[in-house]
Amino acid sequence: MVGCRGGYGKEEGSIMAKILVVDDEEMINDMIKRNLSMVGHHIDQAYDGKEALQMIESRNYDLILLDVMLPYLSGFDVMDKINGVPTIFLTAKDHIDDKVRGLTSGAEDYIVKPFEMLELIARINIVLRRNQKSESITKVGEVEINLESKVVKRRGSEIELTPQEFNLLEVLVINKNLALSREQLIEKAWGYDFVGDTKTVDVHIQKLRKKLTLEEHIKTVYKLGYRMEV
Amino acid sequence: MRVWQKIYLIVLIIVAIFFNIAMYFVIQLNYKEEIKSAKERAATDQQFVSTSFYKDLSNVEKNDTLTYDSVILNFQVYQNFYEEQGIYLELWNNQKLFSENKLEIKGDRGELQLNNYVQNIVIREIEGEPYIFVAGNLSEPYDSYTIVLATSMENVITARHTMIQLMIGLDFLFMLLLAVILFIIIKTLMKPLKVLSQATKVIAEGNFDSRIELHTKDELGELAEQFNSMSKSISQKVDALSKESESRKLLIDNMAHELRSPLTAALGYMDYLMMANVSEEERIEVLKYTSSEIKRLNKLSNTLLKMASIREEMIEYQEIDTSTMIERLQYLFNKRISSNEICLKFQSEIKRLHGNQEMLEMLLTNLIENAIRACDKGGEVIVNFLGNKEGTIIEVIDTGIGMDPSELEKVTAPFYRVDKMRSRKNGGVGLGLALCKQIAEYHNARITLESQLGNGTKVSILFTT
Repeated sequence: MVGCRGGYGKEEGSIMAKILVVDDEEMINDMIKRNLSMVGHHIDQAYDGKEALQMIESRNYDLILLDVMLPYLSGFDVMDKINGVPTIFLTAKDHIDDKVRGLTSGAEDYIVKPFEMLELIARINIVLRRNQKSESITKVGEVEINLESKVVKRRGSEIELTPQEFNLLEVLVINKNLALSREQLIEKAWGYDFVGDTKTVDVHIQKLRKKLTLEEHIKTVYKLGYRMEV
Repeated sequence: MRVWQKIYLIVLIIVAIFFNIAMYFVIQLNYKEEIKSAKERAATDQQFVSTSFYKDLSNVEKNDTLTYDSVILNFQVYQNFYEEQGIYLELWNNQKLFSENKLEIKGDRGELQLNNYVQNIVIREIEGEPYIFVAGNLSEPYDSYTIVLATSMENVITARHTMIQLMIGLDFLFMLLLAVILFIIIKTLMKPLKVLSQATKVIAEGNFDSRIELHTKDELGELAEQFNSMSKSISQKVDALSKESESRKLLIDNMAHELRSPLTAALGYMDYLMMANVSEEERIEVLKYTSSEIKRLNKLSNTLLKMASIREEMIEYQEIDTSTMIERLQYLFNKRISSNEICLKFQSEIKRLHGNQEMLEMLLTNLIENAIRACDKGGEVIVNFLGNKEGTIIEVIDTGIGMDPSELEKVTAPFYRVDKMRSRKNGGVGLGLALCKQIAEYHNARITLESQLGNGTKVSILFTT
């Protein structure tokens, strides 16, 4: 498969996590790799249970995305043999007992196909944070963002951001290199209950650009929204 | 109240009633007999006295005349004798009392009304004690004399009382014994019922494999046997149902997977193209992948629809010309086989085929497709149309990779694929053979597979109509 990172600022973006994607469907495996690489994760791929276990043994992963229906060894069987690595199940089965089984087998989360990519990205982040496997500090341009402590520094000195501004920045960072619409930004940064219109997004984006001199990094995407390019 | 308790009580009560009734009758009968005996004894005694006294009087008159005193004197002998035994005698002559009598008798003496030489017997109570009075007159010439003999019935009464007391005692003892023995017997007989009840409870709780161990040769044993066979058949039914349910679940899971996978990839790719800033090269690549996934989804949905519609449709049977069908199939596969250098041969013994043309073409297309896929370059696929007395046979034989005989059963199950990876690369979805099986069934035909790893496969369809 041809290059996934698009070659944007390798020195600036950090590798968020080392993730193993296990799915016997080549297309799905590839699609996930492309998307997750874009937001900064390092992705390895496996196409069956045996291969997955071999790779887990040879490398330390921060997270595993595991399909339940695999040839030779089911996802649940693989689960039994993984020691401690946080795992998210991907599956086409959405019976309630499958979900329960998945979660009680020790998985951190259980996502049903087909899923929204943004949803997957967000859930991966939550699991990484919960298990303290996420990078605390993300560098964008001259800015250092600590998503844990919620401290943002530019050239070493701390910049004050309102909670709304920080939430927006966080969403942009987590989904870096992906364009998000204004509606999506509102929903992810400020929740469904937010009262106001999309103009607020524009205003806050302007503020972030100004305060953090990120004009080069927070790009407007024609007809779509905004994208943080790292 | 429990059944055994009911039985127990009823039996006890009935036995008690009958026993007591019987005893009562026995006692009554006995009493009557005793009275009769006593009467007869008294009568005999009176007869004896009469006869003797008659002889006495006769003797006296032989030598002398009969005087009042001599009569009394003679009579007294008897009286004294019998008085010791508690028997009293009276001598009457034309209604006149001649002898002493310790008994105080009130009222009239009905027994004295005598008819010729027949005795009269009367029972009379004196001071609370019953007495038998036997009266009879002497023979001629002394027939004016009447002798009355009175004897107490006391001992008869006493005997009766004793018997009654004995009966009560026996009654009590008997009932006690009966109660104990009957209890034991009933409890013992009821035991198998308890076993039965216990065992059926276990089975009712869901252990359809447990059996009742009761092997008596009676109704309960039979019942147990019936229960066991019922349990067995339930167990089998439950197994069959759960197997069916499992395979249905598997089918749905597989179908979900097959439908959702291409969708997931396609959607994910579309999102990616929209959100990410990618090179033109990557964009085109991703679009190609998306397109192929959607085509795959399309193919799958078509097959599923076909399978669904076959079920709904009324199938039209036609007379199909085999050479025409062969021509169409050859045309269809022309490109495929030339690029793979596979040899596809058709041989037909029969001119016509009875069935639904569209479906049979679908069937053969599927089978030939599978055969071609199984072959490497230079392989061979032969399609035979044969006819014999049993019916028409169509065979599709290939020299391809073959499969393990253990797979042959599973292969017609929907979505089942022997090698998932390989067949998906070739565009396979796993429904081909399931569809073929369905079409065959609608033609009352049977599909059989023969195969060996490395030696190719032969698929035979036997039409029985």
